[in-house]
Amino acid sequence: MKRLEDGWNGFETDEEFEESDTEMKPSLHKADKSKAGSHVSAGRPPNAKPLHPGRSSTSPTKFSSKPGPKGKTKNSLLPPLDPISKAQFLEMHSASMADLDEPSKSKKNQPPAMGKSIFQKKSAFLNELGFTAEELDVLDIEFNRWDRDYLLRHDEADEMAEVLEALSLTINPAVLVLGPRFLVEAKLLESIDWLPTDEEPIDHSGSPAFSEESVLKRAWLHSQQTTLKEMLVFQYDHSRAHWVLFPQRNIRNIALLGRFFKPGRPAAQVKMADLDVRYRVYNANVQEDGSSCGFWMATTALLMICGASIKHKDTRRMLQSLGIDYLQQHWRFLLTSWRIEEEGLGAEVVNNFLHYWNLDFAQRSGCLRIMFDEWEEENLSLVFRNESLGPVDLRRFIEGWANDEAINMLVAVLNYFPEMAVSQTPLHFGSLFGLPARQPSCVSLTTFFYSKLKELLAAENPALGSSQQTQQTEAELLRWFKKHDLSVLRKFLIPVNEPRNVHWFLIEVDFELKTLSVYDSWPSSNNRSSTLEEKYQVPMAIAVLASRVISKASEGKLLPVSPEWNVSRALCPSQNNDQDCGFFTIMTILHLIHWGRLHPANCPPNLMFSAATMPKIRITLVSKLIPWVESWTDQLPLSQGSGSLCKGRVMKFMMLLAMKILTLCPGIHDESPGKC
Amino acid sequence: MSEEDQQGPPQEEVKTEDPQSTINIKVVSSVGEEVFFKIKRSTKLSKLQGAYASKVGKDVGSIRFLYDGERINDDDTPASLDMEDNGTAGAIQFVASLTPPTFADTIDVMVEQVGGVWLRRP
Repeated sequence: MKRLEDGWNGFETDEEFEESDTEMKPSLHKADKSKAGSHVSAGRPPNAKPLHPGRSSTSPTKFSSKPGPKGKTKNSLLPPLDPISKAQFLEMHSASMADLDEPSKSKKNQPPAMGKSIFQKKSAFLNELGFTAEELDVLDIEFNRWDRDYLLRHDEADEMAEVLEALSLTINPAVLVLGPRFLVEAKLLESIDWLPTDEEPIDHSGSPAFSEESVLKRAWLHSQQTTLKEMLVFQYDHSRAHWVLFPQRNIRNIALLGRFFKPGRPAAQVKMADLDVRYRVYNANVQEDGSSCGFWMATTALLMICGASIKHKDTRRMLQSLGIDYLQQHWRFLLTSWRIEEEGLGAEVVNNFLHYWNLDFAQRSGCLRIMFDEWEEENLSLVFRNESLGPVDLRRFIEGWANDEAINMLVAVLNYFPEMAVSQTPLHFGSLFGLPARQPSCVSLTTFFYSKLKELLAAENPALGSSQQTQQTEAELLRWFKKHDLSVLRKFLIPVNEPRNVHWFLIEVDFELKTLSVYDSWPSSNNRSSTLEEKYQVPMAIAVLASRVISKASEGKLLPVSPEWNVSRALCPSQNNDQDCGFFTIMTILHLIHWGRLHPANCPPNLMFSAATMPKIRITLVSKLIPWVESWTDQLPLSQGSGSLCKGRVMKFMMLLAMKILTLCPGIHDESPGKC
Repeated sequence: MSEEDQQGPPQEEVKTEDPQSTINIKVVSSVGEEVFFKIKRSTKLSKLQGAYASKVGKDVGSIRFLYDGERINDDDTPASLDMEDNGTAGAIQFVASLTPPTFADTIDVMVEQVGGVWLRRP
């Protein structure tokens, strides 16, 4: 492990560090990448400048030019990391602050007004010392006023939204967080003469309609980088004097915003009829007192960004057991980190909070994202034999739909069978999970096998093709089996992309048991019209065709599908979203190729797949795949690969990146029980 | 094609499979459209891929080239993949000159596949 770290340090010093830009530009990830180790968010927007003199790239704070007394007090004002000790600092300088001594206990009995007056006194006191408003802002971490009776202020909610927005940009860009300030700005959106285009809105003078610091501008930039799936809006309900979190889109301004962000996209089309609907309340039932709603709101948003649902009872139970005091403490740390660290939110403070929910994987996906961004800049891709995955394909593991590249890579990796004769043969992929080598009698074909069979089916149709075409396509298909040893293979897995470019599932053709099975993660409906025969008519016809081609390729050793074969839809876990079917297909292949069935008794827990574990499985798959492919390349004799010299260099670079990710995410190592 | 593609692997049967000799290659899309290319055996197939993509007006990143069911790497050449005009090796020129299209070796082109959900089509 020591050597790994050394390797990474050497790499880091080579890299050119860029000055982090304080603007929230689409190039945010650039600022992220050099600080990936310690910070999880993008840098702050320019309206919250850091106190540290000389550290800011734009205008270093000049202490000497300011009026007022000088001396040691100023240096000691560099904010310490611990907000509590900041309070102690204030106490040192003012007798009037003495009552802050034991904040949480003594303040409990004070009326909120008292806290305010203390705050004013402090401001006056600090003004006397000659600080600018900007510095006061940084110092204004007057967290001691936060107690059980404290109702979150609007500016605090705005700042929390800012923190969360920066966090979501890194961890989960599909979520947009909007602070309460956006409602004011949304009115502006209604007033401007704006056409739905992908261009940034401009006002009549031709300059951008939104100022740099505005919530809308930031949100717009955010929405240009990704397809938004969810918007979290902090809103204060005046009638109930209550903070609520809107994750929905059916309120008027959100509808407007939806059009603004992604013109013409179906997701953003909101039915006008819905707009009058008052919000439906989901009562999280965690708050025990009358005023802490704001903190619960912000915390809920934080958890949603990181992938924990407030509707899950474990999440709520954990929140309840933490209690408002803990939440406030964590928010103190988060906001302090946000204000005093120029690079952005510290990773440690976020993880300290998230570890209650075992949410380290959220951060891991953030690390992967940063790594893939680097790969993109360096034009790197993951290469295994004939398959390669570029950053765009790799990102599909983190979110979105699987494509043929992702599935075919896993197919190639899972098909890989170490030849026992060669002592230096790299371990197979399953060994990372402590699995034995795959069953020698089972193999998975690529996603294109099905497409090619479809061509054959078309050629056989007298209306579309000819016998010459049929012969030729069949001859071509037979050559696909050149590299398969059909004397041992009995079971063939065929990934199916059907309906085309919409859905993935798997067909298993078992020549030994004489079964044709469909493994489809899309929940089967009770609708009688979509019975097996109707829904899978084409895939089944093609599976029969496949059995014929394979039979021919085996020169008659394997017998094609006949009436005594058993055709069925196998029981398998179903997806609960519209994203995961490709990865369900991959996991089904993994299980079938190793065990011949799904979820056997000896299946390691991190390979059990279901709708609930799928987000984690996806991250696990890609974070195991990268080091495995790299170690495979590393052990390969150089002469074996084509263009090996050049590739070797690229691979070395990729190894360094992989080491980086391993150092950043210690969890990856810990998870595999049988890791050698 | 230009002179930069001289680094094709040496052939054992130099007499019949001279790297400088040309080969007919048929590129077939999944809907059955065929495009023919005549290239040197030492020419990298990445050139053919680029030429095909621009001919059909598609982004080369969105289509996949397969030979015998396996993806073609950028460095592959007809020689490295052992491609041949589907006659016997000695008869290449003869067969090719008679009816090149029928006997040309075939590269399949597939479009990118994605999927996430089974949507009911209206």
